[in-house]
This record gives sequence, C-alpha cells and structure tokens, in this order.
Amino acid sequence: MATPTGLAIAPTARASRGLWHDALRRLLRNGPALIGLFFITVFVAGAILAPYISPYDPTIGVLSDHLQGPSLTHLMGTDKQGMDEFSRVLYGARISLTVGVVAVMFGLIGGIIVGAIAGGAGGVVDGVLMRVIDVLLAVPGILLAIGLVAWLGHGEIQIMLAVGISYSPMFARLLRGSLLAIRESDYVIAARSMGASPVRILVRHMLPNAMTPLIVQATLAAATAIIDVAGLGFLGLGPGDPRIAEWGEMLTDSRSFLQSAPYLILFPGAAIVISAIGFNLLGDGLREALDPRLKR
Amino acid sequence: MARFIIRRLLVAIPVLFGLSVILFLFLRLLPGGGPAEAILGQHATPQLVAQISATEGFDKPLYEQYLTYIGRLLHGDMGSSFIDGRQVADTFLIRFPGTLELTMGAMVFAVGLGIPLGRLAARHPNSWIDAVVTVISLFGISIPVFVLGYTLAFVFGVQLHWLPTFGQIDPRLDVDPVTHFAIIDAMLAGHWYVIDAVSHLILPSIALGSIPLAVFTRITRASVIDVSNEDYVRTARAKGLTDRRVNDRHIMRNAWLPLTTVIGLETGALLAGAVLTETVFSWNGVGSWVVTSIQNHDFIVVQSLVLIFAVIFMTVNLIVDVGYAFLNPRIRYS
Amino acid sequence: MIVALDGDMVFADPSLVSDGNSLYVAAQVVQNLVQLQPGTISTVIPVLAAALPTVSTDGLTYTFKLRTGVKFHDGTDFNADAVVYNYTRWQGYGKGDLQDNAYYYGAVFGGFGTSSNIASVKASDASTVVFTLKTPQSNFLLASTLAVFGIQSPTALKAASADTTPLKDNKYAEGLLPQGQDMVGTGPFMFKEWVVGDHITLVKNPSYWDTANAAHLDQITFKGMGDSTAKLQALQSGGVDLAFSISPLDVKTAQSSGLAIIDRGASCNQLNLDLNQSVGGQPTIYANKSVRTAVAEAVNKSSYVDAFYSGLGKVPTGFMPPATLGFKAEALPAFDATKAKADLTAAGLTADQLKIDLNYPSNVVRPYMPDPKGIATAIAQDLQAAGFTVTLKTEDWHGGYVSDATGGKFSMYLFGWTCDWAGADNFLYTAWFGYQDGKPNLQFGWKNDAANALMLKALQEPTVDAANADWGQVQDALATDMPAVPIVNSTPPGSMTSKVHGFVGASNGIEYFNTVWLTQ
Repeated sequence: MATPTGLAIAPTARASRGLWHDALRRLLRNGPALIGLFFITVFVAGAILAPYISPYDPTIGVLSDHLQGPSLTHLMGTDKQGMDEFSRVLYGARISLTVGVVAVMFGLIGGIIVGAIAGGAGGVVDGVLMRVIDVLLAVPGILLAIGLVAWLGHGEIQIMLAVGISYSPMFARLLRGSLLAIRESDYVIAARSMGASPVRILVRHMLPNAMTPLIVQATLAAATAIIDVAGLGFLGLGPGDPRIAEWGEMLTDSRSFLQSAPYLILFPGAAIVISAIGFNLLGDGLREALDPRLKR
Repeated sequence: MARFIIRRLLVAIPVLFGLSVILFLFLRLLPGGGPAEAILGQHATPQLVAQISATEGFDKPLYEQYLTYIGRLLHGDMGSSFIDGRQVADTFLIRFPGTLELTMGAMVFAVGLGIPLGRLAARHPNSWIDAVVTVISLFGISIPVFVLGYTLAFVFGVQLHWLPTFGQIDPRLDVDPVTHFAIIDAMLAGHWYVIDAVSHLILPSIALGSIPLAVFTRITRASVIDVSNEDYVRTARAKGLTDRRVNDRHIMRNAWLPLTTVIGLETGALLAGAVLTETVFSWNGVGSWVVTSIQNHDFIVVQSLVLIFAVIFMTVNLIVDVGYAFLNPRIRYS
Repeated sequence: MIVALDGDMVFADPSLVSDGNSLYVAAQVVQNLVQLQPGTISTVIPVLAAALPTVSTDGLTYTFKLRTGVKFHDGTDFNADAVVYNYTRWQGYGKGDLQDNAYYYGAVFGGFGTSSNIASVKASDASTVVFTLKTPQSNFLLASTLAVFGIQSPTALKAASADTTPLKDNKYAEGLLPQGQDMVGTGPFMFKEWVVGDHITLVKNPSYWDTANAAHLDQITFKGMGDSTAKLQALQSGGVDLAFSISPLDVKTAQSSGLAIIDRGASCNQLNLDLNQSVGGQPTIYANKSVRTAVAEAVNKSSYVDAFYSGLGKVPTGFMPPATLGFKAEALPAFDATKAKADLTAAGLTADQLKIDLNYPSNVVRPYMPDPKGIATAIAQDLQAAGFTVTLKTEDWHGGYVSDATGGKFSMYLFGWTCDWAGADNFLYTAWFGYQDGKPNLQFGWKNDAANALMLKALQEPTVDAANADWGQVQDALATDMPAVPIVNSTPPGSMTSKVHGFVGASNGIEYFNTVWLTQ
C-alpha cells in the first residue's frame, strides 16, 4: 500500500484570519488546484445525481446482454453480469469517494489523538509513542487491512476502517512534528507563562496552528485511499455484496477483459485516475496556498 | 551520535516485544479458525479440523502458545509454516532477495526518472512543461498498480514481445539459485544470462516504481526551486558560474537532503507495496507470501514476517536519520 | 517446456499431499500399481502391476502381480517388498504433522495404524503382493489410482528418514535433497529441483521401463502462477507453453490469439447451491420441500454455463457428473421462472422469511466455480425475480468458508466438489450426504436414514456392480428430496500454445507429459 505522497511541510508558526484569507485567495488563483477541484466536483455531482441521471438500476443485470460494447443503449457497455457500466460508474462514485474520504477521516482522528498526545506531552511519552508509530508504519498497511477484514468480515465500513487505521501513524507523526516545532514558539511560551493549563495550551493554541500540514496531507491521502481500496478489491477484500457498484471492485472484476472488453477497464480506471489526480492537484494547491514559501 | 543510536535501539526492544504480543493475539483470535482448514482445503470437516488442531496444539491456552513461540524466537527459531512445514527463516532467505531486487529496481526507476523530471519542472516553473511533468508523475501514482502492471505486460510482452511478463528469470536457463538474487545468480552462471534477469526486472520495476515517482519528482522540483533562491546560489550565479555548474554543485547537493529522507521512507513503503506487483508478475517475493499466509491463517509465518518487516523498517529509519545528520551538520541529535 | 500451475507444490513426498498442484507434478514422477487410462476418469489400467488384481469373492483379498525389471530413479529395484514398504509406511504415520497431512490415506482406508481397513499387505513372492482387508471396500481399486499412493524407493525414503521426521526437518518432504534422492519414483520423469515459491524442474528418465512410452521432452518446468490474467499473458507472450487452467472468461481471448483450449473430456466436478434444512438445531425455510423446489426452478443454470464457463460445462442431470461410476440420471426441476414464483407463493412464507442470505467464497477459484462472486450475483438476481430478497455474504475460502459450510453455519451457499476418484461414493458419501457421527451431515441437515443406510451398504459391497445398484437408489432419494440444487458440471479449461503436441487432457486434474512434444 502506498503512502500518500508529499513532504511534511514546515508548519506555519502563526495562523490568523488574514492568513486563511490569503490562502483562499492564493488557492483560487492556482490553475492546477482549480482543475483538481473541478474534477472532484464533477464526480461529487455525479454521485449526488446518480439516481436521477443513471439510465439503469446499477444492481440489476441482464445476463444474456452481458459484455456488450459501448452503444447508445449502454453508453459505457455492460459488464459480465449484464449490468449497465455507465450507471455503475455513476453510482460507484458514491461508494468510492465516500470510502476514500471517510477512510481518511478515520485516519485523521486516530492520528490527531496519538499525535497530540505525543507532541503535547513530549519526553518519554513522545519517545515511546513514536517508536510504536515506527512499528505501525513498518507493518505494511495492506497487511493490516487484510487482517482487519479477516476480523470484521467483508464490507465498506471495514474497508474504511482498515485503510483509515493504516494512515493514522503517518498523520500522527506529521502532527507531532508540527507540535514540537510550535512548542517553543513565542506565543506558546507566553501562554504558558500566563499559567494556562497544558491541555488548554495544546487544544487552544497549538493544535489549530499545527493543522495546516495535516489538511494538505489529508487531501493527498484521499487520492491514495481511493487507489488503496481498489488494491484491496484486487486481493478479494472488496465490499461483501458485489451488486454494490465500487470502482476498484469493478476494475478488479474486469481484469480478464483487458483484451476482449477494454472499456470495462477504461471507464472505472479513468474514474479512479481522474479523481485521484483531482485530489492530488487540490492537495498540492492547498499546500502552496497555505505555505506561500513554496510558490515562487 | 552514538548515544542517540544506542537509545533508539534500547527503545526498539520493548516496542518489538509489545508488537509480538499484539500480533500474536490478533492472529490467534482471528475468526474462521486455524490453519487446519488451510491444510485440509476442500476436505475440511469439523471432525478433521478438531483432530488437527489438537495435534498442532491450537487448543492449548493462548498464553502457553505465546510462551512457546516467544521462547523459540529468543533462541533464533522463527518457527515453521503449518502449511508446508518449512522454517520461516529458510523460506525468507529464498524469497526476500526477490522483493529486495524488485524494490531496488523500482527505486532506480523512480529516482532515475523522478529527479530529471523534477529538475526539468523546476527550471520552467508554472510553465506547460511543469504541467506535463506534474500530470505524468501524478498519473503514475493515481493508476492502480495492477492495472498498470497488466497493461505494461500486455503492451511490451504480448503485443511487442520485447520483455517477459512473469518471473525473475527464464526457469529453463541453467542458473543455480545460490543467492536467490536473480541478477547475481545469473552473473554467477555466466553466458550473459544476466541480460535475461534484467529484462525480467524491467516491467515490474516500472509498475511498482510509478508509485514513488510522483514523490521524487515533486520533492526535487520543490527543493531545487527552494535552493535556487538561497543567497549562496545567487552569489554563485553572480560570480559568473554557469547554470550547469550551479545546478550540479550547489542546488542538487542540497536537494539531496530531503530526498534522502524520502528515499528511506519510500523504500520501506515499497517493500509492502510490492504485494500487488508480485502477484501481477508472478514474482517470487515475500509480498505474495505474506498475503497467502494471512489468507491461510498460517499464524507463525505472518507473525515472524511482520516482526522482520518491523526490524527492517526501524533500521532503515535509523540509517536515514543518521545519514541525514551527516549530510546536514546543522542537525544535532541529543 | 514450461507449464503454469495454479500455485506452488506443497511437498515433494506425494503421500503427504492433497492439493492439485503437488499431485499434478507427482504423477509425472511416481507411479501406482494401478492408474487411470490417460484422458479418462474411471478406466483403471495396471501400471506397476502387471495386470488388474484378482479379487476374492468375499471382496476381502486383492492379489497384484507386479511388473518385473522396473527400477526406481535411484537405480534400486522395484519389487513386492517396495510395495509393502510403502503401504506399511503410510499406515504407520504416527500422530503428528505427517499424519495430519496424509489426508487421503486416512480418508480412503478409514484411518491409520489399527484403524486402517487394510489388515495386512504381504509379499508372497518377489513379484506378488496380497492385500487383505477387514471389511469389503467397493472403492478400493478406483481409490488406489490416486497419485498419493505412488510407490517410492524404500532406499531413498530410509536414507532420508522420511517416514518419521517431522516436517520442519524433513528434507525429503521439503524437496531439499539432491537429484536422485528426493521424490524417487519409477515414472518417465525424474525430480531435479524445486525452488520454493517459484518452480519445479523435472528431467527425462533415460532408462524408463516402458520404453514405448518414454518421455519425449528432456525437461519440464512447472511454475506456480496464481493470477489468471498473468497466466493468459504468459501464454500469449510465449513465456509459458501450457497452462493447467485458465479462467473460462479468458477462453475467447485465448482462442483469438491462436492458443488451443485443452479438451478435458467428461466433467469430474459439480457445483451445487446447497440448501441447509437445519441451522443451529433450528429448521430453516428450506426444510419445506416446496421452497427447495422453488429455488431449483428459479435458477437459470444454463445462463450461468454460458456466462461464466464459456459454455464449457453442462447443466447437471443428477447429483454427480455423468461420467462417474454409479451415476444415475434423474429428472431434476428445470428452470421455470413462472413456476418458481407460483411454488414460492404456495409455500406461504412471510415477507420476513423471504429475506434470505446467499453465501459465496472469496479468494478462491475452484474448477467447478471459476467466478464465485459472479455466479452468486447471477443466482441472487434469479432468486429475487422469484420473490426472495437476497443478501449476498462472503467469507474467505480458507478463512472459514469451508469449515462454516461443512459445520452447518450457512443456510444457502455455493459448494461443490472435484472428484478425488470418479466413484459415486466420493461425491455422495465422502463429499456431501453421508451422516457424520450417526447424525445428518450439518451441511444439509438432510435426514434420510434409509438413504444413509444404503450408502453404508454400498461402501461395503464386495463388487463395484453391487455397490452401483445401491448408489442408484441413493440418487433416487436425493432427486425426491432435493437437499441441494445442482448447478453445473464443468470441464475446466486449460490452454496451450500451438507448439505443444500430444497432450491428453482429463478433468480429474491428472495429466501425463510423457506423450508430449514441442515443435518450434
């Protein structure tokens, strides 16, 4: 399983309303980021509008009509079950995007909890937690995911949890790094000298300022999550009910047709690639917007 | 520095110990029973499963099973597979070289293509060249590795007949598996068999290397742009050094710093990412082995392999941290 | 020549294996007293025996005359003592991992040591072996063709202590010994090397006893390749000459790129949709016979054969493949969506009862079930059309599916069988319907004491013909009760390039390469 790409960017020392405002302005002027946002918007719209625009029920196939090429009746052809590929790509956006985003959410929650404790407490707690994180990073995410599915059975929630948990260590490490950098900054020292409790300092002063790299990384991770979910499908760990349309599963089930019906690879494959590129472009744009040093 | 290394090693021991306990419980409590089913396959009836579990000791209390396991491990015995009876250490020595070879191949591809692409993009920031580079590198990371793998095999193997589509080396060649590194074994065998081994490595390396390609491109681009704006580089330019000299002597040397970190991290990630690539290219490595072992509930194998992975990963991380300190004397580990 | 198998071999000692890949390789190297005529699944021919055995009228004594002048690959003589040594060795596997893995000996002869149905194996002279059984066993001859009962060189076995050493130190079983000391049989090919996880190499036996049938090929390499797309591409690119199996979905692509599809003759497997009448001691809706009939009518079997088997299969006409010894054709309910709907309505189930689970396995491809997920999806749709509301559920084949199915946890599920030997007993009794510990098999919750008594009687008939009469009655009872819905008998496709000649396919998973040659 790939780790989401990108460098941990140097945490910005101080966030203010002005900074966020500037960041948004920079983002809106960033061409590639807007393209990324556009890709994502298209798929989100497709997901929302799927019940209204998809011509067929994505879960019902006509076996005798299976493996038909793209035509006016079936814009993207039919799969081996005789289900309409176009309807499935549309409905698939719902599951795939949700799974990707929710998985990252799970990962973020786990990462923030661990990262905050480590970065906030420092010292021995930090040392031990970081070595634990090292170990978790060393357990290949895909193995963790296989193990979790073996435990919890097949299903979308299980996949989200599995992928999410495998991302947590990365987020934790990132957050902890930012927190450590901020610990000795002027305003934290000031807050400390004013007698604020460590928890209050952590929650009110440090966390908000350390979040920016996490937001960037989460956007990039959404892209990776979509691809990782496809990889799980390849290993036979997709959602339990195959009638549910999910891009990775559609791709995996069609791998026999790379030569005889390539459109079954092309369409869900393109959906995955384009949405992943979308998240990546948006993530890069966010990074540049939030850390103007990078943008020259 | 020595104290830093020693401290890291000391912390690693309890962590690994904890990992072994968690792993043990995690695997033993897996629903779906023990490896008895995997041994029996389609013949798994409740009677036979119970009988085999009894002889293999899966019905003993968990702590007892764990103590047996850890006791053997401390004596250097990583246990043996329930399925084929082989010692984990033996099979590991046969299969790990394959994964290492694949990982290094992927790294060579990713670094070899990523750095020039990144430099190219950095030289023309925000131009169409930059955009094309971004799209190429993002495409690599956005396409599921099995789709890319099959497509590469289809185009270069089936259609063009340029490259083999599976395995590490043509098994008909008389190559003795001495080291289990296909390339080294092929060199030892002579007859230019090494060409065959290298040709087997190309497609899987591209498929796997496409994942970190984007990272290297992106980082090279960012660091080159970053460093180009540092005072000393400006000075160098002002002194009249050619762009090329400035690039080679100053910019890249500094860009290597973040690259080293990421190369280290990505190598660890690649070892794991090799799982899918190994399946697509029928590659005899640890990735495919560990996946089948999990599916077969071959506990001991999974357990020992994950521990080995953990040790490797921690070592790589340590080396990266130490190397980083050497490359950048401003960093001090206390 | 490179042959792609579905996976790696497990052990180099055939007596310890029960998986198809190991048996496939072993069959080239070790030979039995009797084997199946290549290309058939139930015609028994003498191989290391000079003729088929003479059987006493009570069915208890089998006398084999052996071939003379046969030598093992290590140069030692094959003789009656070698046969006795091998049979005694298997029977003597003590408790531990050797016995755990020697599934077939235990299954065929009822156990090890004193539990075995073999009372004695004796060499009455250098070329005559006499088997004495405790009770008559109608499958004795057919089961003796299993490749696990191949005769290996006693000298090599003894030298490696292969009979008693636990697997982790058992170099013979792990295939670590040099050529001539490991997997030492009498066959047309000799074991050369095994690189675990990668490939197995066999070489021609230059002094094979049956000179007329000596191998043409100098060397065969078996390479385990689990991924079906990778296999197809390897065939197309010429990296592999023959693939034991390809996905039926790839058949058309293979043909259009000039590959031949292996003709496997008569089917030796069956996929069923099993209906469990009792789960956890509680009767299910399938205890109602009209529900079982409705299910049988609702599923459009021939559409599955077309869609998932590329037509390489037939809708079953009974409870085992037609070529099995003892098969009897039965009039099973045909696909009729309207009738299914009517029958289901007549059964008077509540809306809640009509909500059913259909279980299918993940991470597995079986010869009878090339695409479990696809077939299950199609079945679910047909059942929905009949009025059920179907939830599809899955577990890993190795991670609990088989044991949950055989342990009676599922009410409706896909399950099938590839013949070990093509006898009625193997399908009807061993695989499916025989009582266990005196109670109905948990797989089906099908209670029919008369049918079970008939099966036990058939197993102990002194002759195959007498047994087959009993099996016919058992099949009548099955057709009346419909404890399972037969879906398909498939002939699983393999494929080879146009360079391969002389290959004879069979659907039971045993094929011989001595007749094969390659052209450029």
